[in-house]
Amino acid sequence: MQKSKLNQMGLSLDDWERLAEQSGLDITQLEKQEIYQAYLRVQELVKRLDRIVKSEAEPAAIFLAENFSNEQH
Amino acid sequence: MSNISASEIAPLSVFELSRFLATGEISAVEITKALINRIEEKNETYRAFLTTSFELALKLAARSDARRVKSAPLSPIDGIPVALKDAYDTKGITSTVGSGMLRNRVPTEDSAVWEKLNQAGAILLGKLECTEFCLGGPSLDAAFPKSLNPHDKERYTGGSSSGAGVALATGMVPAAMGSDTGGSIRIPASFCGVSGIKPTYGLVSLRGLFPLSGSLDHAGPMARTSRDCALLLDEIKGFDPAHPTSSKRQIAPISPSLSGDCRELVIGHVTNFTELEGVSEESQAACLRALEVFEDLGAKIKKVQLPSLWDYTIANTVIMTAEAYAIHAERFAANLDKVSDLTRHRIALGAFLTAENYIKAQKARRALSQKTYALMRSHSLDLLCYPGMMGDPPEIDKVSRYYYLDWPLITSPANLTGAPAASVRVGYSVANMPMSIQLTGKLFEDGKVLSAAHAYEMATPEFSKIME
Repeated sequence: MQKSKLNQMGLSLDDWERLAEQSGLDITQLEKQEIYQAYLRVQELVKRLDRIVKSEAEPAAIFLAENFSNEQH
Repeated sequence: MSNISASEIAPLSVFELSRFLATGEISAVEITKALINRIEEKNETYRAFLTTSFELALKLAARSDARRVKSAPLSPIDGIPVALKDAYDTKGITSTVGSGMLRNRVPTEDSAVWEKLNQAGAILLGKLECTEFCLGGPSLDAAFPKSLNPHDKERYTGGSSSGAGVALATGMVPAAMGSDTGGSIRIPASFCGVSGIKPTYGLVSLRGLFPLSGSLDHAGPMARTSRDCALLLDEIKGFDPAHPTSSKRQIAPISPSLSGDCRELVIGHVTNFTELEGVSEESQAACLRALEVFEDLGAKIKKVQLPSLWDYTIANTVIMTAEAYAIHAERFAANLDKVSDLTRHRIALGAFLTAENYIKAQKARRALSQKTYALMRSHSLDLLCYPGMMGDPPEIDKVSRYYYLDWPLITSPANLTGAPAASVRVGYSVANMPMSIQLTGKLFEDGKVLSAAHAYEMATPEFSKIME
């Protein structure tokens, strides 16, 4: 995978390896490679969502005070 | 003594069993004993049950029969045997969520669903196999043996409510409970040739259902007919103040209003889902034939287009993967070697999704839901219809670990939008595998979905069979 394409999609393999170590997950090198490919695919697909919502659009989670009034959960 | 032999009991629906119980032609104990025999005969081959609770079942059946003699049944399903996906907590009965890590987990409380079924007089035959932590499958190296598809043992049953699909298709039980986060009721229902509905989000309490992804999880019934799904849904729906996702908005009982009449219905055929690359010609043709049946029943059909199926799929996948990782991160940090290969891969992916990914997916969820329901309103649609699955169930050893990144997940729109969605049998493929359509409705219009599914099933009884 070319570096320029990686930068467009997300983390480079080196950055991703560091993140994998930080996660503390006990995964083999082979598993890392497969998960990394899935990660790249997710990042590629997530870009589709930019057409649907703008980053400055309404919050992802909406907190409505009235939901918590009158001792309701 | 019953006029109905034990071998005649296995194929009967909940509706039929309920009528025989009401007329006294059969007792709950007789039904339960017949199904225990059936499970003992079939489960060694098909492996749908992880745990059986026969002693409890016979006790509950005797109580049900005594109630009918002394007073009245508690509900239309009083005396009807059921089984639960092993993700539902059952007090004092092992609940493994399909994972070897939880093989000795015995809940101290009942799930809301079993609480309600128990209060309605249902009889618990046991707990059903599910793919590990409800992640979907198949997991070939899972701690418990996989259920086998009775239509072809080499092909996938669908998951994660795999045991439920198999137990129903083989006549081991007339009704079961599954759960659905990305299609886990509808996929096994479709691949095993039975019925299932993912109800409106919040209609059925999730309390005591082991979570995969709390904002996408749905608890719902599976059976051999949509009418039976309605009978179960009527008993398990309802506001639960003890769970934050439970909806206060509730609906009238569904089963009394089911009819074969579709004359008032307007169904939107989602052509961009049906004609999507990857949907088999057989699945497309089966969907079109089903729409013709609905037209014959008086429904009006309109062609419509929803946003791309990939948009729904990726938003659903990101939310599910991120939430599943958050639930399991601590458990897996030290025990990742104790789960199946598939679970390890799918859960670990969640460690690498960013906050931006998750927030974007949640925003997209709202936008896609708005678009979906706006389209239904603007075209005056009651229901949407599209193929249940892309094609025949794949061979078990040929399913990719991240298949939902290779092909879009045709069940995901209803999880993302919270819409009620039923899997309805529409025939058999050339390979003699069951095929299905999905019918989805507006929020809290679960009754319209099941009524249309019931009408279709009444018009096509040839598609209803269990595997001998």
